[in-house]
Amino acid sequence: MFWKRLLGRRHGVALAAVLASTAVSAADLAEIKANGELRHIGIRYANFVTGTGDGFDVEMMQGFARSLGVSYKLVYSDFYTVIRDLLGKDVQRKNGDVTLTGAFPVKGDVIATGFTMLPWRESILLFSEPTFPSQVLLMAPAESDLQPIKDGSDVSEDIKATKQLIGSRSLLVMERTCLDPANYGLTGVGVDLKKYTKSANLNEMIPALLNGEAQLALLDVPDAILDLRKWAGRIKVLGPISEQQTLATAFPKDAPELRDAFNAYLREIKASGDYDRLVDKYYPGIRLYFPQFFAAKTN
Amino acid sequence: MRYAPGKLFRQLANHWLLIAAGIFSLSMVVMTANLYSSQVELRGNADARLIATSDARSAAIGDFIRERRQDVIRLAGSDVIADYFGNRDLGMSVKYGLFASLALIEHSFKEVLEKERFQDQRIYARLTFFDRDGVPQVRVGASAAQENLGGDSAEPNISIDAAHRLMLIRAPVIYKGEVRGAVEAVIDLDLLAPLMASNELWRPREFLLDNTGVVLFPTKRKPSFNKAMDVELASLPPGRILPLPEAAFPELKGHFAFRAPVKGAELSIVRLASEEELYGRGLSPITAFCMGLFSVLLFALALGFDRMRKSAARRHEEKIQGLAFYDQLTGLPNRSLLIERIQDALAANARQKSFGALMFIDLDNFKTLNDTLGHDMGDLLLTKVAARLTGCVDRHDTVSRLGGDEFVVLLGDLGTRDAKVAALRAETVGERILGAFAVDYNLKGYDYPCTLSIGVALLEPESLSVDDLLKRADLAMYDAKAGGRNGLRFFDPFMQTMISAKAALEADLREDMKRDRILLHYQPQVDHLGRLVGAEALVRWAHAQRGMVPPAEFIPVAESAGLILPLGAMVLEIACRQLARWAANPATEHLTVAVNVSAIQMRHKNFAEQVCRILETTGANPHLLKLELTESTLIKNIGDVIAKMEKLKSIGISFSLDDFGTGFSSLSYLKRLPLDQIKIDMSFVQDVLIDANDAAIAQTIIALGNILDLSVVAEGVETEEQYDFLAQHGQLSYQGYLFGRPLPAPDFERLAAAFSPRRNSSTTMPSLDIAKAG
Repeated sequence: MFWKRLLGRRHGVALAAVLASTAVSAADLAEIKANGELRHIGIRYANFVTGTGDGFDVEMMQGFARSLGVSYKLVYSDFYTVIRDLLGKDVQRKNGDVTLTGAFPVKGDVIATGFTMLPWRESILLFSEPTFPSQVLLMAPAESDLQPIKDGSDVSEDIKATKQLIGSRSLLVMERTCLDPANYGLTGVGVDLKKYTKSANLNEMIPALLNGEAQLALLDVPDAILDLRKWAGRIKVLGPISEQQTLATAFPKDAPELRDAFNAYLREIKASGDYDRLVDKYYPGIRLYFPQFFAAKTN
Repeated sequence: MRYAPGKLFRQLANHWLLIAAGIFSLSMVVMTANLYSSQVELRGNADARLIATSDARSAAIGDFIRERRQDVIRLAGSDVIADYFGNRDLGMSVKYGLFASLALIEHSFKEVLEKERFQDQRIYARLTFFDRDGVPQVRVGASAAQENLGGDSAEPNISIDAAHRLMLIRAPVIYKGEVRGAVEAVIDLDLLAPLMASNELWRPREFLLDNTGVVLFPTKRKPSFNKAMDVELASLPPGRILPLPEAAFPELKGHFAFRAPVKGAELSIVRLASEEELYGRGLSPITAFCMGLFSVLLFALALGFDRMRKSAARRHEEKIQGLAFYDQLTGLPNRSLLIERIQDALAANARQKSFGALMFIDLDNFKTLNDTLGHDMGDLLLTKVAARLTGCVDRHDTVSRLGGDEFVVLLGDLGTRDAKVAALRAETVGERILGAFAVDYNLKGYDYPCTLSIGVALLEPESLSVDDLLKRADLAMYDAKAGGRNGLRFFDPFMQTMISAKAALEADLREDMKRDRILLHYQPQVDHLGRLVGAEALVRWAHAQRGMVPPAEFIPVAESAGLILPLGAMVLEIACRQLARWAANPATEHLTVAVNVSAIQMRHKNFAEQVCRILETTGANPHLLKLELTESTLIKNIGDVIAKMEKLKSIGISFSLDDFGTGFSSLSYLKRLPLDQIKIDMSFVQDVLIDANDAAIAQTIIALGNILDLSVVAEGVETEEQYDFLAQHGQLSYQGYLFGRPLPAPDFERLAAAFSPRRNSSTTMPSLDIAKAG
């Protein structure tokens, strides 16, 4: 609290990061090349990391490793430990403050797993250029008496209308992920939040919803696309909870060269069309939802 | 029935032609049958090939279309579209919920668009997902085809956009039992090109048409094809190889067409092929059939020919048989068969002690007919006689011809053991025959009276040899002839002697005619003033042993022996030669010579020519030649006689009618005949003084001559009284002993030299026998 008062909130975060960087050694491009291996930290999440050895991010990072001339290694993690596995320190978020604590083994060099660029994450991590768009939606079982909102011209109005639907209904959320209610102002507003803790796998949100663990659930667009297909007719999208989000690859703060190298690689695969192929392979239809993003990226 | 090998071989050899033809025809039939069946099979195969090829094309296109249809149906029934409608029914907004479904639909469409390929080309040019209102929700690909906005049909349909060469396949989207939209696929028709035989111009004449006759393939067409032809092709009955109607396809004469509809689409494959392309240059089954038929006909011809050959052989045998036993002219049994039958009859008679009869028949004056009217007429008469004779006897009797005009009738069994009764019965038959011959024959318009002489010999139970029997009947026949002809005589042993004598005389006459023993004596003829004006030539036969044979005796012999014509010609020639000789003598140069012409001579068709020839060869003056005819000459065929007379008169020959008054003395003849003279028969002259009738006849004839402007000659004037009587009644000429007997030529010449017009018996020479030829 001292640090917070002394330096303000922003500075608090920065300090924590400094502390963290001093606590563990970071692996930048040179070291990775020296080691001859790129360790990719992935969470089983949607089609970014499927858990069966492939996924949008898995293939992208494999390509990145090849571009660096090093071998590739996938290191599975979860939303609770993913930053710890990258930075060797645990993240503590309290009242908007982010602190890195402890010392843990660094398991990987890069997080690429449909990782949303959130402000608090940006304070402790280096993010690459956006790799994927996302948005958080409010989901309900098909039989819910709630009716989806009508399309509006303004996303914020749509978000507002959607949030109004929640009322006092129970909402299934997953903290420390993109489905963390804190990210969307859903905490402390009377929403009956049901934190899903059985797993850190976002893929399990809809089964839990259908299992009656809550009346509503948050779900990101990539997962929603897959689940609408998987649970077709059993769930429905009520409306947006968030603005459009950006997913990107995260690096330790002390690995700017690695990040730059990745950005260069990303531009390269976007230019070559390999990126688009990966998008269409793992998220067919996503372009329809985020036409501007993909138009800008592919162009 | 068992044949010995040799006999069997002969049987086969007799029919070698038939067997060869049979083997040949059989082999031909087998060959052509094989050929026929091969051709039928080949044609069947060719047809099957054409059908199979066309069906294969049709099936390939049909399969292609069916697969596309299935694709579209599958897309229309896909989960992504169902999810879309499910989500839509849940009220999800397009922006935040349905986008995912539409994205999935688009993705699946793109996948199909990319994945479904044919010959490395994308099959679908465009895939569109419409909602129920026909609003396109998802569209991938691009095409010029107008999107089919039509309807909410519950059935898939396929349509052809010929203008853009596109095929549109549309399938309904049915969600929860309700048509909620549709999926439409657009396919470029050019995609079908690899399924067609070729897209080249015209060949191999394979078309893909829609049912309205729009040709989709080939894309490059022969300009001569027009829309009407295409429509015609599209409307051909399916599944049958049909000849193209020449009227509709003049350039494709002899071509065949086959239409195979494409299943599941309103399309057809039509293949055209000429007969040669379809079936090659081989023979058609019809030709093969005709060849087979030809072989059968050939065999039938061979069979016919063999039968003809056998028939000809049979006829040949029959002809040989006929030649051996039958007379070729009349068809009657000949001598050989007659002898056989006589022998049979004799044997039967011997057994039954019964009588038969043999009738030897000879035609009277047949030789004369042959000589005068020709052998053709003679043969005609013989055939008619044969028929008439056959009609006169019973069926089991035999009428045969021995040759010439000789016929023999064998009455084998007269049905009696009594000779007299047998003779009577034979006579009855004979009389029947004679009666039958009372009617004249018509020989090509020529009425010919034919009489018979029949000699009958009885076949007795203890009979003689066949030769003897025939000889007896022959003798009896001669007896009948000698008896005046047209009669019947039974054999009498006395006949033999007579016949032998007659035969000897005939032989002598024939011989003496060759040795110039036929002579002429000339009897003077004087005019009313007693002047010698001519002579009648009278024939004489100086027989070596018998001396002068009277004409009354040898002329009948000459007639029966057929010598009368040569004898007449000989007489005429001698007379003409004498006339020519007399022309050189002033004492005789003016004298006429009258020659008697018999009826037979006159009927001879070449008589006039014969006379002319004799005049020419002898150099005699025709104006001094006078031909004497008897009334009998004029009885038949008066027209023919007149024609000949006029022909001879035209060269100067004059005619005299002899013995006038003794016959029928038809005045009409006198009027018609171109006569110059009539002669009063000596029978009238001789009794002119004692018989008032003869006197009246003589007077009448003289008056008749005056009226008709004919000179009259009185024959047989022997006394002055006779002469005086006749002279009182007109200016006559005379012939008779009063003026001179018939004299040999030298004597006559002396007479002529010393002839005085005075009627003095001392000036006459002693006469010889008086007789006239013919």
